[in-house]
Amino acid sequence: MWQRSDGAILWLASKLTVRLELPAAHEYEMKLKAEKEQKARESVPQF
Amino acid sequence: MEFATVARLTALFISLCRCVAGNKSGRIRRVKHWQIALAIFASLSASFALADDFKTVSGKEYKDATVSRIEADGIVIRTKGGISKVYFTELPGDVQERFHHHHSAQDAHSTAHREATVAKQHATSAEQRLGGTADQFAAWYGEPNDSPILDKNFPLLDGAIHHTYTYEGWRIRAAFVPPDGRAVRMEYSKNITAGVNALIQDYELQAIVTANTPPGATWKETMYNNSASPNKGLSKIAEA
Repeated sequence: MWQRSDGAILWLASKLTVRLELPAAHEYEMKLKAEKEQKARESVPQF
Repeated sequence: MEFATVARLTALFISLCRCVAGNKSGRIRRVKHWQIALAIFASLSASFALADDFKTVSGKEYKDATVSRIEADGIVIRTKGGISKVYFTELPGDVQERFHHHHSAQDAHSTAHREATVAKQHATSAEQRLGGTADQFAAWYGEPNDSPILDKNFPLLDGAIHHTYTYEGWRIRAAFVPPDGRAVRMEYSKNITAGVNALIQDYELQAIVTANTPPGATWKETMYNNSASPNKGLSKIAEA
């Protein structure tokens, strides 16, 4: 696994695949996860 | 249409105009001549942009393509599939000559200046593979060849817009996110065909690194099982 000076990372996901990502990808995933959780909390029924 | 043909037809247009200038028979007649001359010239100009077939040195074909713009480092063509940019370096010598000739006729800049511009644009394009927009990807790799089932079942990034490109025997997937629609995650793998070693070689990895190294940026190898790695659990073991 390699890390670029601006935080981007590159890794061999397998011997057949190379992946790269910007830090923004992880941030986007976290944002999406938080929104999903928030939505789930708001939709809990009143038992 | 050949450049020489256009030159001959332009001369015809000029001669028609001269003919009109020498005609003293009246205003209405002169207007008719101008209209005819203008109509001929307009139709010839239109035919200059007639569709043509292009084939790159790597074998990629663009059928019925219309050249919509000539740039310093290549041509922008329009096909049924959309708009693509083809770099001169991807075109055969005779096609390069054809468009370089047109370009030099239009552009007053010196060759040295043009070469400097091309080098700068190549450097700029190299730094934008990861972080580029879908339009830029289409210009680099051609129109996407998307796999909705693959994207649905194995998304690179949940909620992102996915595109898959086929380029020089490789499959390149990219996940684009709002608000600016830039690729934040990419995946390179080879198209597996007879006689092709699907394992990614060191020199191929190096080429991917080079294409994703902006000026001034550096890469350093980090420990396996790095906390920044998106892989989870056992997938981390397979990382290199």
